[in-house]
Amino acid sequence: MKPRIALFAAAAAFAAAFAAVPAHAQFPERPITLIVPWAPGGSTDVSSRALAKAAEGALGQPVVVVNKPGASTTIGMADLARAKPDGYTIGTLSSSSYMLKAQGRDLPYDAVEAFTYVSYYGDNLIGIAVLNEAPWKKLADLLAEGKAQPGKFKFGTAGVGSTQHLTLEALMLATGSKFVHIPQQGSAGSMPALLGKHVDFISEVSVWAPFVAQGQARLLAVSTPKRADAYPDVPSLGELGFDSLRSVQAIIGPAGMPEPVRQRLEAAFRKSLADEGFRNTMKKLSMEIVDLPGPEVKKLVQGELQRATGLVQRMKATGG
Amino acid sequence: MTSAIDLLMYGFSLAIRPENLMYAFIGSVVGTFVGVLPGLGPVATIAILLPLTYQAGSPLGAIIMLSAIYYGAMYGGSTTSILMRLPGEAASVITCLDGYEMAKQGRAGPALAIAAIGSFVAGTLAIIGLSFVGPAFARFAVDFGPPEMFALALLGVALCASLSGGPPLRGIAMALAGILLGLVGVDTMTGVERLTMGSFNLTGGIELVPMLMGLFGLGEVLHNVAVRAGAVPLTTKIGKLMPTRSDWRESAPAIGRGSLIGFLIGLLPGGGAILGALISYAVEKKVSAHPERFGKGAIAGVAGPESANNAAATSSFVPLLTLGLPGNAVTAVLFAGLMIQNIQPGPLMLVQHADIFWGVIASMYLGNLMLLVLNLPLVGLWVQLLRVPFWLLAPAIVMIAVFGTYSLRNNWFDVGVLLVSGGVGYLFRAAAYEAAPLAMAFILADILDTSLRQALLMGDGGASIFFTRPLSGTVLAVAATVVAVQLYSYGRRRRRQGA
Repeated sequence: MKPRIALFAAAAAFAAAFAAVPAHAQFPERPITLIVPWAPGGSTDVSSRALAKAAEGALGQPVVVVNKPGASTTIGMADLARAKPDGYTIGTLSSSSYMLKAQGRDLPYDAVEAFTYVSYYGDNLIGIAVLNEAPWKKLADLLAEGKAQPGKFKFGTAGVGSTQHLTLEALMLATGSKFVHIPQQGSAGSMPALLGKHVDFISEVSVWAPFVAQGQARLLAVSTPKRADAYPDVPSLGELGFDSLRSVQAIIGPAGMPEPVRQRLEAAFRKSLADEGFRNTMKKLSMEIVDLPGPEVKKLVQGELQRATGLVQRMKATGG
Repeated sequence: MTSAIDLLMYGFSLAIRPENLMYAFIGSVVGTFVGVLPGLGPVATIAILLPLTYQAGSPLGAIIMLSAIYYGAMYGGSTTSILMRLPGEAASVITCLDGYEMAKQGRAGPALAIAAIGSFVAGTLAIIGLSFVGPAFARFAVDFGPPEMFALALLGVALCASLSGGPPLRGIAMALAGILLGLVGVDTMTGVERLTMGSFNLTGGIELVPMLMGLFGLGEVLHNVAVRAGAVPLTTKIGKLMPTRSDWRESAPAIGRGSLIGFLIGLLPGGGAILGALISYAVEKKVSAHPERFGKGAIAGVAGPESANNAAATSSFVPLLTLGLPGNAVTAVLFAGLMIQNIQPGPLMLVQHADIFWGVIASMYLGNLMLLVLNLPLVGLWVQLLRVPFWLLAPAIVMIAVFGTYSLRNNWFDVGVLLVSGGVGYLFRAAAYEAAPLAMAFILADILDTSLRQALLMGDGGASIFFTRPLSGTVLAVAATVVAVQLYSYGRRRRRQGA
């Protein structure tokens, strides 16, 4: 029994991954593979799946999500960069993929130029959250405390060099306050650390959402350029006069994709942003939908990478 | 207490609705298969089935099904561990030690049966715990911070040595090698690459499941090929299917202790079913009247860990449902599923979504019963696999391992890890080095490394934080005692042997 079942499952997986039969008529005429460089279940995976489903309607072909997680997205991104740029293999870009470059890591692909930019779809909302019983009511209170007692208070994030971490480093550099970073293993670790008072505050994607809704935690600021629709009372870092980094979610493909194919994909994916199911999913994940054409996405990524690189250099210069 | 019983009855009234019974049944069947097929894990399965929760008329049915897949996988995970020394789930790796030895002695039936029954008892006890004392215990889970996790992981490493029957030095050497291998990859605290030898694929570390399948499953296949297929244990007699009276006497207390250990460990963030199984095994070996039988087919060495991993799987729902904290990858996916349904897991869930909370818990009682009824008759079917000739079974095991590995991350490098681990596993087997301490230390290395440095940052660089926090200090004291007892009893043995 078992070998047969395994063989069958494997055959199905292979069929999905390498559905072949090349031809040259109207793109797309066979299923498209969307590489998600994260394990199943996270916010990028869930939102990508919702978007892929919406795009199937506009493209007239299935969009098959293949998870290729590992090494902070770089394993999946390396596979995408190596894929044939025919539009049948595309992927989801997260800021993590180029943030590593800012840290000076050697990647087996060019963080910007190895890809063709199809479209943008949203920002992960990064919030600075404290327990409700914490004394700080505004971000300024927290920053003042960090200046008065440098190194006394600790914060958690998903990890070193993550957008969440660099966002806070930028705040420290701008204000001269000093907090100790205690990296957690991924975003899921940050909320238990806050609730157990192992850290004093966190800079994280939406893991705090249920606790904010229940009044156990409080948001001091969000990182999006403008206030988030879901949290109209929480100031954005931008309006407080601070630089912030974006937590990018975009659709990309390997470099060298023919422009007509790219445009066809761009049209389909941007149209899908209006899809009811996708919008609901994004809302429930506390992610903001953002619509940008491909060429703009590339400019945005270049700008973000430059800013992150500058930030890391200043961090190193100040011994942070 | 009465109100909890009333609410539980309300939960049963929801869980026995035909559609919810069906979801629990489908989840149990899928879970059993996910457990039996090595490589196919509950995380990926649940994540792929997650979109079903968007469509299901009531979210309750979907959550019932996804939960059943998880605890069902813990039932199935022991099957290939016992029959082929191939862990079906990472949490079943401990079961390979004595379960496979039992199979070689023609006692696969009792091993499989005790695994199923132990899983049922432990699952049910853990649900009772979840129903009545869950919220109280959940607070304790959050208090468990980095210093406590470090102390617990250290205790785990100390227990690793007891996994190997041979001289302690071998166990210690294997555990240290496991820690080294577990540190490969980008350091989470600084972002610096460690021990990657310039390999891009190693920056994410070595994947656990391919390594386990290689060390245990492929290593065993190669060993059997080497000792000449004729004498291969995989085709031995099948013997009785059900446990004997003395099997029961040995297993019953092991199941009880395994349930309690698993329940407590499962509550901890990042604790997980594997650690529960390891601690249970070490405890059984310590309390046994015949510790020398462990590793040679002791039924308590199957009953305890299999009960512990099931209890841990169930109790990991406690922090998810009562605090809104997913402690492992599976509950993180379920968390996403609940959020998508606009259900916010956490303290208010009991008030706002009592139907989901109690409905899911009640369905777990029923799901566990279904799994027992499903798995006991399967014992007779699975043992028939032992009749398959080795020349047919061996390539099948290799193929299952390769496909299972590839399907994990769609990554060929992992297949390479599998094959290399298989070769290494064979060498270990040939040289009589037990691979289990290496595997356990590999798993613990990550917790050890991260929590040590997180704790030091919390304590502003000082180590006193480990001793001044009561929980952490207690666990460290237990770990020190374990090491002292091991050294003492080894010293005494050597003196007695007149060495």
